[in-house]
Amino acid sequence: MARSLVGILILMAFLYGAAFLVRSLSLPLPAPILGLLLLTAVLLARRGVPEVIAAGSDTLIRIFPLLFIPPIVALLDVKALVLSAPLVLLLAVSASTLVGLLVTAFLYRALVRGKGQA
Amino acid sequence: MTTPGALWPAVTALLFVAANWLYGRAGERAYAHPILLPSVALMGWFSLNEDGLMAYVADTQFFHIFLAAAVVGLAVPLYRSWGAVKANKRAVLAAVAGGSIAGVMSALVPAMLLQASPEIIASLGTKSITTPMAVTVAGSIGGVPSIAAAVVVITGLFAALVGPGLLRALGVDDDVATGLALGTAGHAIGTAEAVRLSRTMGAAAAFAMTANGLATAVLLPLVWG
Repeated sequence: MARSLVGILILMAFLYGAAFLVRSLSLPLPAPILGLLLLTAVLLARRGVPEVIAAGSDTLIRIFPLLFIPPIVALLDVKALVLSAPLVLLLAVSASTLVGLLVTAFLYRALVRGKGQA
Repeated sequence: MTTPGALWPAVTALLFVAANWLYGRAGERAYAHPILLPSVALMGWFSLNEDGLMAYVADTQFFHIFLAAAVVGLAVPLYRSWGAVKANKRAVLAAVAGGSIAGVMSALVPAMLLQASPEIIASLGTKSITTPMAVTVAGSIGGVPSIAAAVVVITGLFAALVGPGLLRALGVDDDVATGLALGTAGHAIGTAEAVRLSRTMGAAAAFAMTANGLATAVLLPLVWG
């Protein structure tokens, strides 16, 4: 428990460090993505995951779906905007998400199999 | 009516715990997903009590920092299963690029055919990248940030709910393939789902989400011009 808390604080330190870099260099990246890249670079350099960071990450990842609930509920606030073009948005979201899922999965499979046969 | 500040975070967490328990009992069916039930319940409540939504959003604001920290924490599954991604580097990159382009085009083309307004079209371009990125990039290509954010969240939820079952039904039994698809099409919400399902799937999804986000953020404003 205490270990997870320390781990979470370390992840937040990476987040704030990344946010500082994004602001001061005006990078076209959100801080969490840069933080993810920085931490990955540190883990690759250390060739291992410190136990506290693993504990913090596991805890947050376990409650990941919980953390998405408030932004989803907040969609009510833009209900009017979403309903202003319901057909386009419905099509765009459902059809293109399916296309994205299928193309990615099958392209990967085809390329990996092709390599295996060669 | 004012409510104590801890009420809504506590209600959200309790609903999540209850939904998570139900999800296990229901055999992990998509309709019982622990993101879905609490969201539907809370949205129903705030549709009837519209005045309360502002307080809910304000009181749960601190969830954002944990969400952002969780995205940083995805470095751990990414690092741990780096081998699976690296082993097929070319296939992974090609699949993410192909899936990303196909996903964006299949959103834009119908929107153009249906003669949607330029603001709506620009707001769709960023549908498969994570929210903070989508909002910035959509703004820079003339989209509406709040529509872009809504589209991103709905896209991710849809990918997380439908993706794993659909791909399994179509015979995709490779965790790397499913993970890449969830991360490419469903950004952080899809990745959160992948991490729950397996370590390798989570790593592939975290990689795909990051690569897709980076590429879209850099390329889309250039292509749009």
